[in-house]
Amino acid sequence: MSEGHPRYDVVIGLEVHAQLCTESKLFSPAPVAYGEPANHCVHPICLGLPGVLPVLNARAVEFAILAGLATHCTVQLHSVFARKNYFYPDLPKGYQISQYEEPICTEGWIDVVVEPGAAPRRIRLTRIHMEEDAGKLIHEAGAAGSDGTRVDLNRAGVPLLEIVSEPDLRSPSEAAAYLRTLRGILRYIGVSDADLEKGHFRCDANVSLKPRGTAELGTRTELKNLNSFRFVEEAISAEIARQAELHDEGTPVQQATMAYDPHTSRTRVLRLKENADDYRYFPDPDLVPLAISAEQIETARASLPELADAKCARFQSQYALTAQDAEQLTESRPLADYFEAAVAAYGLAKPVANWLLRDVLQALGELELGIEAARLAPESLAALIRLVDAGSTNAKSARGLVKELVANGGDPAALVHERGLEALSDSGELEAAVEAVLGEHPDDAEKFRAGEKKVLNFLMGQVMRRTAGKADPKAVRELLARKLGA
Amino acid sequence: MARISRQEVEHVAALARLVLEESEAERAVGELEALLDYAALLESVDTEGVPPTSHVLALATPMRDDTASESLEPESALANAPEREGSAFVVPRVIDDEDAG
Repeated sequence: MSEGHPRYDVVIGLEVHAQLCTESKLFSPAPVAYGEPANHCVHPICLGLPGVLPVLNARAVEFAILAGLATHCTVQLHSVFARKNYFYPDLPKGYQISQYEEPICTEGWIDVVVEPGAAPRRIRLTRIHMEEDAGKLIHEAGAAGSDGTRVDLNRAGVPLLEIVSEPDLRSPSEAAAYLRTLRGILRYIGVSDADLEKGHFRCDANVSLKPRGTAELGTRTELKNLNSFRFVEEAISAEIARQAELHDEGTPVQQATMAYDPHTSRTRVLRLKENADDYRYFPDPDLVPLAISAEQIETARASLPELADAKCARFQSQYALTAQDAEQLTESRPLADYFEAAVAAYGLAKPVANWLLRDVLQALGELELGIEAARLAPESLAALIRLVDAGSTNAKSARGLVKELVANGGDPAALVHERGLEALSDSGELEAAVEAVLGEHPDDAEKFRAGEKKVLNFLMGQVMRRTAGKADPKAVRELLARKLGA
Repeated sequence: MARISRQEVEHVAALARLVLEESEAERAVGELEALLDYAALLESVDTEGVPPTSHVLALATPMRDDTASESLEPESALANAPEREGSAFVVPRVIDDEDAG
């Protein structure tokens, strides 16, 4: 947990750029793909060739509406695309098509749980607008030794939502929690994969300090391109420390764009904002205003799935789960769906939650897979737990099979049989093992009879060892107790 | 009406990546003022109750279905590139201090 600051109030606002998961770009039919060779996903429109005209992608608009509704924004019936003018080779047109004075969504909020089980913090959103992404510049010297900058326009024109929060966040951990929640919402409603490693979800943070309890806002700096939740927390913490030092010294904070260096854990000035950015926004003459009907908004509203916070509350009441378990299970929609399918198959929630959160997630982590890729079907997880309940195998053996089932699928009962992991609870083999152990350790048996009850654990361990861990511990305990006349 | 300063001309020129000669800058001050004066005629129109207009066409933007078509062949995309490396355009080296906002 990274907290605010003991002497200063921390004021943080976040801007998120989330890539929409469309097939084609925002204004051109060029395909959206990741990892293609340079300039293999381009079209005359995103190359900015003369004479082309942009045509808006209807699905990107639907996605923007869904995002607005899921974050309690007002979706505007009328919004306008504007040109943001700047010369930089990442956008060959000389401008980025964005929205400025009239964005598609305004004034929303999301509830953010900073600590599991604690009351959520309501963070206001200023706006959500649509814009096109820029291309990628590669500055490192290329293989051919060119000292120029290489330009790949595959990403140019890819649809983005820019989601701007009010400066409502008060600590680095709140900022990270906000981002996790926002990412969860976008993924729940299926508008963005929000894969941070692929740059689908990028964050800039505005940070300022003011002496505790005072009203006047301090000068803020902007941290650019924070591409992991951990870096967001670290970078904001570093920037708070830097600004606090300046405040302590009485040195004014200068308005600047900052970069975070994870190697030194420090922020550094990229450029000072002495001159305000002058992008000369104006309505794009190539694009008439975007009109959305009230019916379209209502259709989108009706199609919204149950979101994470509602699901989390329902899981706690319907399945009597702890807040922590419910939060973990509702982090992603596929995981929540998997849980509910497994509960439907098994009948009880708590054991499913335990197996899923402990064993299945661990196996997925080790296999570096998402729950969608698990080959252990929810019904099979239920079947595996039932094998343990029935005493057909013991919990330890069953847990040992989870990773294999997750990776390869298959029938749990068949796998238990194949591995010879059937519990010995009902067989004479177990009784023979118990008698052998008692025969080998007559002193301990005597101690137990004399009242030294903890010797039972030692004897149980011996039996488990003799049966190579296949015995059902409950059955062993009962049998030992019976033989010892307890 | 002198609303355009010499400084503003230089600022706008810098944003447009134009290098102006002394005489050109002087001339631009006068020309831009004349342009603004002409546009200022609109200020005499009564716009009370008229919502701001971003476009004169009484249309809503048409949209297309989200269907991807084939990419332009990289060879065509790069056909006019003065310099290339593999399938990347190469431009004079720029400093990485600005990403699209």
